Amino acid sequence: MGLTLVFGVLGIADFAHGDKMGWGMFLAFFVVSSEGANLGFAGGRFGSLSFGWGLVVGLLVAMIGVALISVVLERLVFRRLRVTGGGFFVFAIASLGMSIMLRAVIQLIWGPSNFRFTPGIHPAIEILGGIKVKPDQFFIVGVTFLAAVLLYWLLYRTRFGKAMRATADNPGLAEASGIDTNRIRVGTWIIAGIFGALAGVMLGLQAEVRFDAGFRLLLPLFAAVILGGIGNPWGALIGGLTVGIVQEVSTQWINTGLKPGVPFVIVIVVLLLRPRGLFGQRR
Amino acid sequence: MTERRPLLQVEAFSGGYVDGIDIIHEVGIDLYRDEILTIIGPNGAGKSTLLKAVVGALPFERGQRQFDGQDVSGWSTPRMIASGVGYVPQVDNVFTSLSIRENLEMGGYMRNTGLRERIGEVLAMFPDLESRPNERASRLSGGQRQMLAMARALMLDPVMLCLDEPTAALSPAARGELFARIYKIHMSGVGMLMVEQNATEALVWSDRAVVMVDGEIALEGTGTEMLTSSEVGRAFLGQAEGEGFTIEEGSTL
Repeated sequence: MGLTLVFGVLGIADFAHGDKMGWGMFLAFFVVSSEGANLGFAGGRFGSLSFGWGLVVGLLVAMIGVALISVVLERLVFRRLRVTGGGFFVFAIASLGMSIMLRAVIQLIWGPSNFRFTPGIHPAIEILGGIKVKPDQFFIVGVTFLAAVLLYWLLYRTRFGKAMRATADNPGLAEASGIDTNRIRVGTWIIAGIFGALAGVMLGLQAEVRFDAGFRLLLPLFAAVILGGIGNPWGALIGGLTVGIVQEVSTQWINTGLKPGVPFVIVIVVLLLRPRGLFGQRR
Repeated sequence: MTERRPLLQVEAFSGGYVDGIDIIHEVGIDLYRDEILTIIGPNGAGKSTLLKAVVGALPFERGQRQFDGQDVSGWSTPRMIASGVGYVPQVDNVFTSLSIRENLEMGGYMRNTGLRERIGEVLAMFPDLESRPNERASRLSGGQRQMLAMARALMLDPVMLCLDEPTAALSPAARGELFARIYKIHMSGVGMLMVEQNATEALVWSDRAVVMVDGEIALEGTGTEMLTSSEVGRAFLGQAEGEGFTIEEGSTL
């Protein structure tokens, strides 16, 4: 959702989004890990979930941290590139550079090892038809749905969100209407950063905390955004679910090693048949 | 008796889009609040460029611009708009992915209070829009889009409205309706500065007009004078063919 927001409002294909998720993941990990525990944040569990208040605090720290990183990168890089007339590819390549840098710093601080927010075995519970799901996974689905509702409400019901859509539609007219488009851009980065951090923490909860976990997910993320329709939060949600399910189900017929290629097939098919995606608007 | 003071005064403005290449040369215009002033002229004469300079969309480096008695030469477009100037660009003048109501909300973005009431007032001026406030702007016809663009510009209660070719690409019927609407808005106390290609119709509705040629004011007079002038008619309103624009610069009818 953060990726589709930046793409839709700012017209930037942010290749650093995956590594911002990585930063979110590690900032939360810092809070719940021994270093964070020393600060008195960690500990406890919510019912059958694998985490407690420590991760909630970690999530807040991650959101603030990634939002700050996004704003700093906007001020130091994107704004300067915009002033000098940088186009789509300049922004994309710059974000790729930032992606490498952000990932390298994570590796520098935390090393190449894999971690868990909360070590130990977290048993799954059986639901209808013998399908086993971990309680954390219910939580992740719920949070994701809430995040989509929140983003939809922000974009379609608030003055700031409507100004974001207006800026995406016609920046010149938005400026002429008195909308401070620089503020809108910074706001978009902050919101995308918050959503990126949330996604990173949820990814860490579901899988492992790993320095390149966000980057590995970047291309499926783009596939989801393109499938759902750029700039549409519901599209990102449905696109993400579709890509994830198709990727998993595809292993029934293809070798597991080929699974990472599935999102690319989806992107090619979507671009050929419906270039604006499932929910994208004709411009 | 109080002296009638121009709402807008542009003096000796020269400029263009690129440093060192002037499109407008030493142009001056006045607009009073109780009039519709139309700028006509051939393509490439600098009409739209002048309008952009008036609203602050072009740097105003040489010359002076006064609005409501205040020197506003260095003001940006948002500042001009906040001070009471409405601007409707020729193209891309509505947010196509937003609904009619959302377009109006964005037009009133700088309003701190009374946004909902103003939307109601503005919609009441445009019955075509009032009946479907949630319709997306991209679904509107050309004439309806122009109406929406004007409605958007009216959201901040401007005292002056700058319209860049409002009837371009409209059918004759839609043009007539739009001019009537412009006149009605003007009668509510809004000074109108309009650039038009459909010169004959525009002049009918105008109190005054200026003819621009090659970035300079070639001629000025009342709308009626322009309409009845054989010089303007021959060169500009299609009353005779095969003649170039030969009006002497700075003439007055």
